[in-house]
Amino acid sequence: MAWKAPGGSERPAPGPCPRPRLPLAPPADEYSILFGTGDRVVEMEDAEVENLAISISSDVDAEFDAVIGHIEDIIMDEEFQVLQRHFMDKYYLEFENTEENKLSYTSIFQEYVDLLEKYIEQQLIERIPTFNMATFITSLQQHKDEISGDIFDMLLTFTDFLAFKEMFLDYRMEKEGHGLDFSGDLIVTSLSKSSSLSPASNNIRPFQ
Amino acid sequence: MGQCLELSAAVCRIGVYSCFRTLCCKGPPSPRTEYDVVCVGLTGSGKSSLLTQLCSESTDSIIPTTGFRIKAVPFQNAILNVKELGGADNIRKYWSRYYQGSQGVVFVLDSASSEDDLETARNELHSALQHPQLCTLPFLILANHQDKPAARSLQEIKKYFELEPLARGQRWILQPCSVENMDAVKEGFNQFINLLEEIDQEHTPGRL
Repeated sequence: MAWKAPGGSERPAPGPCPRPRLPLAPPADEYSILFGTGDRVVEMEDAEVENLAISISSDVDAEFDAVIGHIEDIIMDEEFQVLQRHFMDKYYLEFENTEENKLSYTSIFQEYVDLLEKYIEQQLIERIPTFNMATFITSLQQHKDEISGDIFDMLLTFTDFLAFKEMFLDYRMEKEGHGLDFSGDLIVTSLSKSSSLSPASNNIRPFQ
Repeated sequence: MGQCLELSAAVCRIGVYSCFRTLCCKGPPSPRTEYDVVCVGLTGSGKSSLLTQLCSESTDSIIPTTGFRIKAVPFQNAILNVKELGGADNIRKYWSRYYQGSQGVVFVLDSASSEDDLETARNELHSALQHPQLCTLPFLILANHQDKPAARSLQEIKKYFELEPLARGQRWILQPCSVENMDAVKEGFNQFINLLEEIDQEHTPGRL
């Protein structure tokens, strides 16, 4: 199941790097063995088979589910919402719906990750002392179909620049109060034009 | 009623965004390998034009890039996720911020430019070849604008850019081309993709 990542494919970072950055490549085989293959379609409830690979897989999955649960709590919390909203209010006007990206988007992206991803990571470490962001992001690739769209989309904005940009564009649309911009399509035409009106009243100057 | 329209418009927009993000041309996604490459070169060398043409889009409205673009360009054997950076004087200093995560470099030069500009291009190419994040990567050097009368030949470019001595030990392809001859462009890219595939097979999985 190939992940059609916008602007980059996703791969897990090797050992020394603290967290995967855009772009990432598809998961390698050894990661599949450790964290469960992307092809796993068996639901947790159906996993009755007792063998080592499955039991490792189940442990990791349970851990993954626990992390997701905590993340849901963290992002629904008022503190996170305020943090995110303040950040977006600060910068949303910078973002334009064009294919070309301003250089400033990159520094804003960096600031976003530094602020919000770190906040979530800190909160998770408080709740789960053994939490590791890099291994979690790897698991995320495998389980992307199992977690709710909203959570996944939000997490994606930390590693995927185009997802991050889209989030800002959507926020801007929301702030500016309309889903679609009709200003170019609507033309106001007066129905009261008639030949009885003198040119002067129509502000038409005689051609000189 | 208004809210439903907004919601469905937002959903459509996200859907369109996702399709657009997958491939720049609206073909069905197929399981081809993806590679992340960075595309640099002086302003006016033809980066945006070439990439736009490769996506079968119109080049009518292209203006100098002042930021960066991310385009998923499809080829027969692979998809290249290209991060294209503007090449004006004031933007070049930011190029290195975008190097991380690249698996290859596409360097575009104007074969018909002035002596001064050619010298600037040479300096930039040498910097890129020696940059720690790029020096182990394959380079596709596109000697563009071959259709112009003032265009230097392949041999002249190779000699002037000192590729043989300076890029020794590195993998590079020098391809003469122009927007009038997209076959040459595709040929260069296909060879480049072969290089990327070779390197992929050489390295252990999980290489950053």
